[in-house]
Amino acid sequence: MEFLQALAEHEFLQRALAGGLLATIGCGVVGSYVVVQRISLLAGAIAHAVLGGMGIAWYFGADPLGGALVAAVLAALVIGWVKLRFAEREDTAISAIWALGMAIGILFIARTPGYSVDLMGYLFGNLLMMSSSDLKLIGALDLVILGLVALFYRQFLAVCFDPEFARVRGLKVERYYLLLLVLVALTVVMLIQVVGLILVIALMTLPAAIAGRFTHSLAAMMGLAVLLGMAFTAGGLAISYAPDLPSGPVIIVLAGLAYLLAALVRRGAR
Amino acid sequence: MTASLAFHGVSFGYGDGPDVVVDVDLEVGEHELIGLIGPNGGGKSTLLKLAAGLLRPRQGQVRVFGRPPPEARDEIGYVPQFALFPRDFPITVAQAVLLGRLGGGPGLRWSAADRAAADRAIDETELGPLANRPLSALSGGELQRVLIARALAAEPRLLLLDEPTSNLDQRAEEDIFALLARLTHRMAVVLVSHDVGFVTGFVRRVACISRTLICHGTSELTGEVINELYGHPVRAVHHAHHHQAPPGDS
Repeated sequence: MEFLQALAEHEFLQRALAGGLLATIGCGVVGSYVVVQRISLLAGAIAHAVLGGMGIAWYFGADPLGGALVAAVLAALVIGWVKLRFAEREDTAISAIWALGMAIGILFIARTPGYSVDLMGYLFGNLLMMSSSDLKLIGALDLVILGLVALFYRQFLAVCFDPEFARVRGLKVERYYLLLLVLVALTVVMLIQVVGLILVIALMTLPAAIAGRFTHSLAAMMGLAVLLGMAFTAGGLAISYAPDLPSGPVIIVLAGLAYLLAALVRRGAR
Repeated sequence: MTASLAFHGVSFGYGDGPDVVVDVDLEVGEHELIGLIGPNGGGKSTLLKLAAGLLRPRQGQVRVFGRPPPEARDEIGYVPQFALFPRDFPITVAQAVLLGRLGGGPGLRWSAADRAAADRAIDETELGPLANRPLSALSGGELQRVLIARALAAEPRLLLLDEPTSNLDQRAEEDIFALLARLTHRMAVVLVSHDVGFVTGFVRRVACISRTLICHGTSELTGEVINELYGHPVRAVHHAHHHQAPPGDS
């Protein structure tokens, strides 16, 4: 295997694999919430709006991932607020945030002197560009995500399962809902390097959606989603390496094929 | 003796919209089994949500054991409409019932007391053999019992149920009512139903709601009243309205 040989030799490839695998941990956990809550649209809006923050950070010479982090959390809170307060115009408002974030990002990138930003890398990911500081950021975000989920597992479960009942029991449903969206935002930032802003939703939802078909508890769904995400990421990286294809889209195509296959298998089993 | 649930002159509407319930007065005793009946859109589910503290009245007072519902939430067991409940959530019966123990308080894990209460609720609703099944594998009647068990896990003194028997076959319906009748030994049970004929056979008292309280007591519930309630809700207000606030505030 050419890929395994190269993996043993090249440090950048080891970093790429490590970063991809680390990112899928938080991704599988948070993606399971996105799937059971049916908030893929919200997750997509957060992901795309992040380009605004990256463009602004780039323009002012700051770290684009730092800008992405701020923009993602901000977008999550604004979108959550829109969703909770203006439920009847929710889809228009959320689509507007989605497009506005991207537009702002493109404008700032266009205005940045010495235009050399790797826009394609932001949009579709570039695992091979994984730096050791990216690795540290992904690891830190994993710890924050897993810590919060461990702390509030029961509350998140109650809010996702039946928010009305949770409210009768005295839970601050809105607070947990916003916190979940912030977790989505952190996950988006983790996945920028792996599959890019545009493909983020697919890597968040496809492994979790497959896992949901075969598991009977949220924790098991998360575990299986993480394993599947790891398989798709490592597989996509390996397949893309020899023919020099972009790894992000290959990862997503693998996940999509597995999703279709799982749907067929489950249908056949009935 | 304090009523388990009391409405005093309660009016409510959604957003800036018109009132959907108007000037309701109703008291429920401590061990009563009462059915709130009325046409769809007549406001009976709204009354249940007001009792659960999910909505606040525009006018008047709602009291649960003498306190506003949010302060009395430890006494309230809420059972939502199971027919509208999403079944595809990855959760087992036992986990779903345990969620009834969750309050606003801290704690990372379920305590021994939580598990014991959930186990009792599962036994009482005869869900023991199904405890490790996923929700998606349950029949309608079984899902209804899970939602009741979840409410019972909190050890309430007032149980509120929204359409507990809609879409159930007769056998499952009778099982649910037998369970509710047993529960009245230690709590008050308030259920909402649009199925007048069936409910009146089981509950000792009904309250007919069509924007406001039109009648209560099973004896008053003649065929004529039912016809008016469902056929001509507006006229029914004038006919069957003896002891309510005068018209004009509707």
